[in-house]
Amino acid sequence: MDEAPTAVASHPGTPDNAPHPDASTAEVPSSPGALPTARRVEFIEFYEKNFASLVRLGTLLTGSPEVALDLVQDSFVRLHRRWPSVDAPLPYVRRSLVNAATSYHRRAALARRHLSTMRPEVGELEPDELFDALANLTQRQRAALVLRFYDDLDDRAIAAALRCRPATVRSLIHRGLGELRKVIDQ
Amino acid sequence: MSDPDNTEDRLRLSLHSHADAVQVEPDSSGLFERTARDSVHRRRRLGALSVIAVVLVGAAGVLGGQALASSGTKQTTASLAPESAAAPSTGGPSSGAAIVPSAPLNHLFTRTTGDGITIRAYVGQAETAPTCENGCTPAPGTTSTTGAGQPTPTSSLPVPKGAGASSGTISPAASTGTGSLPVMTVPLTPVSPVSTTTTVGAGAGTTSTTAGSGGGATTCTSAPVTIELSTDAAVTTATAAVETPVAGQLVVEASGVFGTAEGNPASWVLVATGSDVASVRLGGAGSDTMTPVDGLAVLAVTGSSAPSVVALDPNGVVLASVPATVSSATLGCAVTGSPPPSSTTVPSTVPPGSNPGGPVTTIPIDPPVNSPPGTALPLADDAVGATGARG
Repeated sequence: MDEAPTAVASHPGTPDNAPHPDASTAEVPSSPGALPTARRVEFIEFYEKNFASLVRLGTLLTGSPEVALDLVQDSFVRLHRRWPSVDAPLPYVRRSLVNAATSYHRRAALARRHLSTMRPEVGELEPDELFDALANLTQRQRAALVLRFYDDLDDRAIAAALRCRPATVRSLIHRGLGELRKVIDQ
Repeated sequence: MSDPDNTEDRLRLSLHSHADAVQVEPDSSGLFERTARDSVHRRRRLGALSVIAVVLVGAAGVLGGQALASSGTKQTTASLAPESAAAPSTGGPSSGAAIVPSAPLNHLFTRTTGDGITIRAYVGQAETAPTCENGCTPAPGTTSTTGAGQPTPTSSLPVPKGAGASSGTISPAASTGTGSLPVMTVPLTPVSPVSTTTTVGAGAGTTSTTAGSGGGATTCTSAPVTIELSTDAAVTTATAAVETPVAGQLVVEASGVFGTAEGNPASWVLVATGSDVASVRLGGAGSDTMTPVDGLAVLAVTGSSAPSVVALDPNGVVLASVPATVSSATLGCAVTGSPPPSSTTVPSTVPPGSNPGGPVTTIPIDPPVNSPPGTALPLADDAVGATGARG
């Protein structure tokens, strides 16, 4: 989360290396502590371009759009803090989001252990056997599957997001699909 | 068994369908509001951490200082005094013999005056001089004494210890001589006008006295005394060689002023007393008083100059009073009975013809630089035994 990955990965509908169009500074909301105007313009453009897709990714990772919205905003706050020094912002914020989702699931699991009546957030989405089956996977398996089959990332990019080796990514995906097949077969 | 490709396609379709169901709009204002909140929280955390760090560092400093202070107290007698002897005085001038004690010092006393001046006194191992001419051996580094270099004294009558001061009734009309009396040893008991040290001088009707220390060649011991004085503003240390036995009953061994640079001057004086002195005190208002310990006392008072030092007997009777400044003659074994640089005959008021043919003894008097010989010595009619060296 604190380490900005150097690899630049593509994002559906949001090319990482696309130049930011010029924008009027008058449209840029001010923020305390803030970046210089030009940098702030770049950040806002990046934010507006990638926000929706990252919320969707977060929704798939957490199972809750509301939670995903919150986590994505937090990820952008972290990115804003390091915006001048981050070379590849999209991998950075994606990795930050994956980590935040992992932390969310860890806290949720802890809460479920203490509050047995608490139900998983996945119930908020439409019923889907396969999607519900994702909730039974480990968080790393789920993240690997989502990043592969929703974001279409290769092993290297997924490995950067999960802070593991590409071979581990392949293992996670293989095991995750195996678990899903068991659900489908049942 | 399900088809692997089918599973992957179904999963991809399921994920996209769920993701497409999420419709959100970027909320820049919400983001920057959250950014501002995060910045405030970070500043608060940083401030709290800074406060904690300052408190911890302060506590560590206090604890470290206490540890150092406690260890320093234990080492005072062994190591602090020799180190301080290398720099005998800080914060102000002082006079006294600079002695570097080579042996461990023994704590003599610690006291705090009414002005809040803390005094610590340590005494070193006494060193015995092999043979002391006239009872004293000059301490190393002691200021040159009066009368040094003179070949022979005019008179060398043996004088008992404690009675070394010259005495005699001196007639101001007939007296001659100049300068200040070099030593401040004061006999406590009134001495008869013609004492055992007195010989009848030559010339009609004159009796001359011998100045200087009484006693001939005796062995004397010199003990280095280290004193440490401290106020809230300054500290100082000084060392002096104190001869034993004390020739007089009140001898100013050293004196000084410290704390001048700090704007809080304090004067101090180290005196040696005889055994019959019950207490000594500084004259003047707000004076300091103490009972001598092993014949030594250190008095201190705030201010850049101390008044006189007064010796009292157990009944509170003033036995002697001397100025609270030390002259070069009293430093260490300053006056050893050596003859003065110039001997001035001081006739006393002995009836004429009482001893017309006797030798003339003299009082050693430092000749003032600007005064010609033969200047009248301003002494009162009843001036008795104003001089005499420690022996």
